[in-house]
Amino acid sequence: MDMIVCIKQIPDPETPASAFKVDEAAKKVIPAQGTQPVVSPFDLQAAEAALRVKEQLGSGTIHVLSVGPAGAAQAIKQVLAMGADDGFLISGPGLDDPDAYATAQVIAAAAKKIGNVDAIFMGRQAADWDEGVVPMGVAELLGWPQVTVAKAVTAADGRLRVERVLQDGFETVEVITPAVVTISNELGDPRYPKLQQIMMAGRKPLAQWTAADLGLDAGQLQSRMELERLYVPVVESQVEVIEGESPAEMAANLARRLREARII
Amino acid sequence: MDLAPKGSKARRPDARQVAEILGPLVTIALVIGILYGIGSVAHSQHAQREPFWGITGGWAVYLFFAAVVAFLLYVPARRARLWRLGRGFRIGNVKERIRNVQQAFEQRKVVRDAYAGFFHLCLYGSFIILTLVTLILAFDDEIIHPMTGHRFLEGNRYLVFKLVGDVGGLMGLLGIAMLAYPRWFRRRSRVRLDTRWEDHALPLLYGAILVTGFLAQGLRIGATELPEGHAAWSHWAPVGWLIGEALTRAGSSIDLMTTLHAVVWWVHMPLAFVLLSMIVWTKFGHVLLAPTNAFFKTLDPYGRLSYPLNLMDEQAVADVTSFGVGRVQDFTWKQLFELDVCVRCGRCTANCPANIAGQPLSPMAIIQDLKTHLNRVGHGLLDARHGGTEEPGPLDMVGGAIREESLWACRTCGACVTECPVYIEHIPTIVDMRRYLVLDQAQVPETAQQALMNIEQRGHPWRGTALQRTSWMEGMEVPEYTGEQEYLLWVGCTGALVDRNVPVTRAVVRLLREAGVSFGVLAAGETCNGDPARRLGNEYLFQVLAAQNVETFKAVGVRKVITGCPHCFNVFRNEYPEFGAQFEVIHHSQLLQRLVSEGKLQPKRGMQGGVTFHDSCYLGRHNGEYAAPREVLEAIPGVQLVEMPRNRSKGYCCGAGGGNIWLEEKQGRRVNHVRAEEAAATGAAVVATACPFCIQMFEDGIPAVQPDETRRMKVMDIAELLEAAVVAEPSAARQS
Repeated sequence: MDMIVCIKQIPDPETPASAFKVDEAAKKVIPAQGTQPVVSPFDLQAAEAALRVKEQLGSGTIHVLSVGPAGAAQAIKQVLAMGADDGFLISGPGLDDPDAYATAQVIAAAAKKIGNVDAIFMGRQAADWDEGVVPMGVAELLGWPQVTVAKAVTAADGRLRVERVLQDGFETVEVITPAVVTISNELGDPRYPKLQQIMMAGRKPLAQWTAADLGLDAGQLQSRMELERLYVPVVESQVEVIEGESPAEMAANLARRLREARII
Repeated sequence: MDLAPKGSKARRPDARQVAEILGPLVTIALVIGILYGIGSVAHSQHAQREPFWGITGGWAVYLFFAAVVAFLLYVPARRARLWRLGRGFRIGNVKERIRNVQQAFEQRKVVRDAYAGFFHLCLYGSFIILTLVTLILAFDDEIIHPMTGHRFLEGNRYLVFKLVGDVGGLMGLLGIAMLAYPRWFRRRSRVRLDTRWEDHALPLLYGAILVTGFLAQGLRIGATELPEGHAAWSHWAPVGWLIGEALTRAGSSIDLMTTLHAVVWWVHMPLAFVLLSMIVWTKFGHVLLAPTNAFFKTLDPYGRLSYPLNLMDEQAVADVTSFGVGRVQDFTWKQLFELDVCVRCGRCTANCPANIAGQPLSPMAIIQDLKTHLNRVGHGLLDARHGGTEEPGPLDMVGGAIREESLWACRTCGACVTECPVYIEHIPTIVDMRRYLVLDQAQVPETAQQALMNIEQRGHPWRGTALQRTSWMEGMEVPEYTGEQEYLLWVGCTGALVDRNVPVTRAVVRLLREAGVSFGVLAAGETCNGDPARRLGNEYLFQVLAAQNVETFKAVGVRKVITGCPHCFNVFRNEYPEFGAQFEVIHHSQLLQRLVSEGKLQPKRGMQGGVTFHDSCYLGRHNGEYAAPREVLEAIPGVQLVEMPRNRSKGYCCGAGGGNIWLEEKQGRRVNHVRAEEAAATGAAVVATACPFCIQMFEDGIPAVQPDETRRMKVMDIAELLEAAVVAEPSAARQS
């Protein structure tokens, strides 16, 4: 089975809140000093899901694909070290910060160019903007079925058996291939790479494509979404200590105070 | 599971098997010798030859001697084939190695346990004395006398010789009695951890040799010296004289005593050779192996965990198929040799913090299990080297003979290595197998994996911290290191990113300022130095970080570094030199001690109550610094220093070492609870330490053993205590 794993390099979601700053005028996030971008965690789990399918079948190819700045090559190497076979970095004009629609266009075009793909695995959403719409766009553009928020994926007679996470339980579905599957954190931790694999990762093929290589023009990459305002919400909290001689009196004072505040 | 390789009919027998066959054969031969000797007694009553008084066929001694020597040479030579399955090992500085052997002969480690050390000294002294006595006697009889016609052992010299021999015998009996008491009558001996027949046979055998020796002496004295009127000579062999006197008074005839003497002698002499032959097939071999192992002991600094390869050199690792140690042949031959040195005394295990807390680790069992594994797979491997059967899979060792959870439970605290009287180095062996799990198998416990991945991605192990590298400086002016200042203050991940440790970092900075020390920090330029990665087995990550940090240090021209963390201290001091680092390192306890002794810091405000000091393993055992932090505490007016029973080189790990701060303790008690209990039992108001990990472990452990918050002991770094005594407004107030 030939699979594509899509990954996105994002600002570290574990950056301490105190270090998170935005430039409101430029409507951009200011990268925190000393923190390196990381692979969106759901995407690593998508890679893990694909690797498990490959291990289950004992054969197959896993392509890692990322749309974004040239630095995303590092992110691709990380997944190659986990055991993927080759990488595709699609970067260049118009692709440093594409919106969801443009990203879906690029991924769909790349999947066609790679050819013979049976499944595309993606994280349920990127952990920076948390929009979670690219997978739908890709499935729509390719005309493939999609299964979202999966916690387990296995291959079964040329199909994929996918366990989905629902709000009140789980559901198992079977989907024909080719298909798009998005993976949720319930899948479990991505594997820790072996040293041999880390060393081999540098030697695995990594293709660099531009939008033009995929036959996409600037118009197709035009952002369809306009960012109106970007700001860090101000959270205010006030603390008031309720006094009293005895616990009973404190409770009475608390109740009086809450009534004054029209909370009860 | 049968690990023995199949279809190896033509296999050459291994040394151990040879020993197991030859050992009993030698014993049987000696027993036949005894019977022959006793049979010959009947005809020997009138023989009066001096060297073997009353003995016919005494020449058999030399036959036995030759047989035993041949045996002593042959079996280790066979056994060495198994040791040599291991990788190469550099001998290097022989002079220093000989000094280590000298230490072994001085029994420095053996006496670390007073009781066992004393009885061992008795046995050791007795064995050496009696061996020498016997050799001198043989030399005198067979070489000096025939060649010169005179005896060395004559007159006063002979009398002193008798006395020394008797003292040697008595020492041996005292040693055996002291050994026997806990082992057989009290059942509290450490040997109970893994008792085998030889643990009973060896002391019984040596006891029998001593008793028959005294009996033979007594019988000879009773039959010769006493009736011949030389009682004054006999007094120089008091035990023999008492026996001779007693037998004579009981009415034994000279003839009877002569006959009995021959019988006893024919038991005594072969038993002595049985004991000698046991050197090669029982743990008695330690008399030769322990000093040899002391010779091979690492010459590296104690706290260094070396790795033979530069993993960043792609050429060097291109052909490497396996990283770490997953198979016996991946160990060095020294590590394999060491397995045969272990005497199962149990000191390592009895001092192991994980074992004491009931966790699944016994350093002794690791060594013994590896030995069993080597015995099982060794011959197959030897055959394979000669084109024979297939090698057993690597998982048979790690995860098979050795449980993974045992490897992870190790704190690398060094208690086992420090206590081992035969100089076994357990830590490198354990970490080598961890390296295999991490680098080769990618089998890492989840929590450790998170810490490692965090180091990889974010340069520190504290996933989810709300602090940044510079958060601790808030409201303080801390100069950035430019190369102009004398010291670089290395804050470390924990000192910067863990809430509890921030006040310690601030205290150190305030004290340095107060003393006028010229220093600066790298601030956001710091990254993990790789210590947790190395201890957790990710050698690759360690090497990447070490190379990176050494570059940073060179770029800014660092010459002297102050660390607040003993782990950073150890890695800089002992491991970075291998990566080309050239700078001095000092731990804050050492610098503060110096500043106090020079009068640059004057502790004025006193404090009430006792303080107990907990030694960090990486400051204490691994780097030998026990005095400086205690001197800092003693300089504070009013401080009453109380020691916990386990202190200094016998200190007990807080539980965090070896990356265990990032591992879950799934079995037994928690190590930090055990230690917190010991600290609480001192009755001190404060447990002081000089390590950010120890502080965290106590902050977690003390509430568990002292639930009453109002009467709970405090956990403080020595810098915090000194700051309170020196600086007007301590920064600890910030904690609110």
